[in-house]
Amino acid sequence: MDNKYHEIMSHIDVNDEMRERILNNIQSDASLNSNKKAKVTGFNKARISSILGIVAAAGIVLAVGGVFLSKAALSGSKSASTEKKYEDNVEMVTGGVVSDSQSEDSYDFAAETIAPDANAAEEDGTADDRYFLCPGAALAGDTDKLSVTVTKIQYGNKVIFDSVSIQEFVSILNEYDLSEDVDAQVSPDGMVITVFQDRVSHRLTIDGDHIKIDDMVYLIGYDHDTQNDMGSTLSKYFVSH
Amino acid sequence: MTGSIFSIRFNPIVFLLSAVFMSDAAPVKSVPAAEDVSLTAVRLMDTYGKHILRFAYSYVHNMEDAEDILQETLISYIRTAPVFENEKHEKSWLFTVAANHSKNKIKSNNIRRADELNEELIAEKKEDLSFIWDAVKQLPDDYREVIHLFYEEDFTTAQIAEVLKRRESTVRSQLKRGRDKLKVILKESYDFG
Repeated sequence: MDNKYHEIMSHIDVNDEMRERILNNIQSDASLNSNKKAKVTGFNKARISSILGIVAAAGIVLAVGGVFLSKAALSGSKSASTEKKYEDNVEMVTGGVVSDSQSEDSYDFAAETIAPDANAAEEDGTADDRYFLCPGAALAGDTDKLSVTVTKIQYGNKVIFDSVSIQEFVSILNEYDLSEDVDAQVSPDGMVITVFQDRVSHRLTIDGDHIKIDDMVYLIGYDHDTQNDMGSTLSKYFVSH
Repeated sequence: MTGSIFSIRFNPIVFLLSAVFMSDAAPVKSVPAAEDVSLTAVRLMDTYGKHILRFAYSYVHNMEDAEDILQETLISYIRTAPVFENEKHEKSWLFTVAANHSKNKIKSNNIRRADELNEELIAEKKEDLSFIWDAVKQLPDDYREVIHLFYEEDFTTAQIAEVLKRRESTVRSQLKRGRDKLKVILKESYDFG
């Protein structure tokens, strides 16, 4: 079968005509060249003034941050307890270990749809909110964990800088077509993710390093077992329904 | 339910970091210039072109749609400009996107009927290969894509699981069932190893 299948597939190849046709189409694709316009408009006065505003706000936030940090220290290890809550049922997204007790016939991960939990959204009044994760620097010298920022989508797009996380995130959110549901563009500000308003939305919430996307909880951070780089490891926790 | 645990809280530190990372000082990828787009497209085409084309063909069974999928996959890559740890990761990403484009194409119910591969095999009087290809085409999509990645791309079941976003045990199961089904169709004429 192995050799036969190779032999069959060897009949399918990219010929010179096809190669030229595709490369020409890509070269002339207007949407691919539109990024260049974004580069020009990215550095305007409004942006510079907003950055200055952010710097000014940073001083204030740092002062308030001290209070919050001391509060956090007092509150103990909430994130550890969260992790413990889900540690019995963890799976690495990248095809890793399966430790749940469900049989392979009764639970097909591929068949699972990532649909918003409408009831839960109504309960807490966040049905219209859309959030994206934004991995940032390691917090407070803890190089084992990435800080994760979730930013609300306000005008259809938001800037995210870690493209590896984006890629994994988008692949989770959108199993089908990257270009239809979620569009990722490179701009001088980083990666801009656009979610088209008429598509299915996903509820994202965050608690420390845990990201909840609809009914799944993910942990972003450094994986000691596989020695993966920070940001490239995305552990998945199944949430009991 | 976990609503209370995973509720959104305003965290000023995270807010500050977010603001810092959204400033121009953050290490960001530059916009690909026109020549970069071209170079990237050529590299992808020469490295992965035939692999993606074959994978797409295994879904749509005609060259024109497979070519469209190859083009869409390369465009998705250039638009997204993903960063990878290694080539294997890059290849997996491309196959995932190609699979998604192929499934969308099938869902749109706008697939062309011509199967150039089968016609070519018949023209070359390779009936045995034509017979196998016909049998592979009869497999359910879930089995066929696993069979293709395993036999044509020599992917491990873990790699296939990553590409298709399935559990590895599911992939192993589908690979076994696909082989069994092929054996039935081919009446155990060939050794599947």
